[in-house]
Amino acid sequence: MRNELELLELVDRYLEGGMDATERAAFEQRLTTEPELNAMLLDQRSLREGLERLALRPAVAKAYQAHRFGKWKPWLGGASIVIIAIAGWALWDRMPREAHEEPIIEKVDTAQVEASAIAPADSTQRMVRYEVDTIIDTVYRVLENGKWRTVKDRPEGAQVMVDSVSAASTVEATERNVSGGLPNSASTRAPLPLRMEPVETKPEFPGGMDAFYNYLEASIKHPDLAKPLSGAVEIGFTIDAAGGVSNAEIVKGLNPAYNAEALRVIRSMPKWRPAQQDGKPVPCRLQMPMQFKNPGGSR
Amino acid sequence: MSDPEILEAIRNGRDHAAFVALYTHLPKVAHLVRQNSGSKDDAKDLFQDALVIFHRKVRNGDLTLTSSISTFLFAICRNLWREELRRRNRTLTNWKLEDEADEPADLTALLAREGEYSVAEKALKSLGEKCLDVLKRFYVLHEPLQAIAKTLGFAGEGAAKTRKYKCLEAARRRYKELLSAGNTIQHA
Repeated sequence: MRNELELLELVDRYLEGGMDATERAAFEQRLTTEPELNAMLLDQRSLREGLERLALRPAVAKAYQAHRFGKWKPWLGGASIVIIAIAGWALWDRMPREAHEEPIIEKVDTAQVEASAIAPADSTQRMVRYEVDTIIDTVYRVLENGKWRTVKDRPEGAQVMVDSVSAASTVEATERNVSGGLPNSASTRAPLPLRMEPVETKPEFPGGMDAFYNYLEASIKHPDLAKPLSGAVEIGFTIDAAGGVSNAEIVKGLNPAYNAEALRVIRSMPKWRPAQQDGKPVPCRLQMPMQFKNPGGSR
Repeated sequence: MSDPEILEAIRNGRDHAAFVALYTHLPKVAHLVRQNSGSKDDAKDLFQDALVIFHRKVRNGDLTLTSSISTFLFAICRNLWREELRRRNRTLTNWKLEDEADEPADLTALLAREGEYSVAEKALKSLGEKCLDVLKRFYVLHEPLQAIAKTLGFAGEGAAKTRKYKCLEAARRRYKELLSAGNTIQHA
């Protein structure tokens, strides 16, 4: 053992770089003639490297936890998905089946106008989008006799439904209808009585929200751009009564490549379990930001 | 963090920040693994191995990045995963050929010893806690034997030295056993 111990120390010194040139040359000469010493050197090198790696593992695991946690921050800060998922899919409602007498007005930003200027195919479902402070150009959409009209100025005698919940630059996707007539006088600025009927069951991604996030994480491919971006694509889509995805549209885009990717991922989702109301599956409009965190970009 | 910032962080010992930044590349790897008969946990383990390898390469200064860190990590993962599937008698089914093009050319050489290193890691893990502690303090933290003896309650420097030697020998024996058990994969 004495001899082995000395050899080991020699090997250690060699690996540490603690030998001068003459000593190193002599040692390397010995390596060529003593296979056992050579074997010891190789093993020792592996074991030392193994030790270094083992020592890194806790840091790697800890960073993973931080990463897992950090990943949620953009969702929480950026927006409504969490609100929608946890607090709020209850906030939507069916439109009354009968025709509206009073105009219903929506406030939307211009990016959305083109996509939604046509009244939704399913007349029982409607999405109202509320934007608080990120609107560049505001327009109003008015539903009159089943047709949408877009106007620049706020129509007289009508109340814009503004979401009081959302205070930051977030977007709430809710469906609601107005019960009773709209106040005629512009001076009556009491909050509009909103009837919010919770749905009996919300649409559900197979496996639940965790599975949904996993699906997104696994499916999103970052567009390969020369100058990658970070940010969110706000996407709206309808889970129809059969659980399929329809009318997927970009509500607020990031850039064409990212928009296309967001649409691709949403459109290729597996079937959801549709929302139910009165025991019947009903279509439900959802809206969420899809976060693109670019690996190379600034954080 | 940009690539140069990550490299800088690793060189300066700010491992945590670097690793957290590097995890942004995990989803791409997770995608590859899950497309090829692996689970999410497989992907995580694989990616963590790649992180450790990357870190060591940077610290040892034997890494010249010819591509982005993302490409490099992905290439490592793909290689390791191919090995793993071979071990499980499976093949990569959903292989994207265009990805091969940007693979670092010297990757095979770079990963040549990885099999041995991971076996060494496994061998060391099988040691007792105290043994591992001694070795880690000596070889990783470079604490002097005297300090180690004091901290861990050995009689003196000599006792610490003997202990270190015995632990190392035990690890080496285990390492050899593991190597010969899996000698179809490991090439010396």
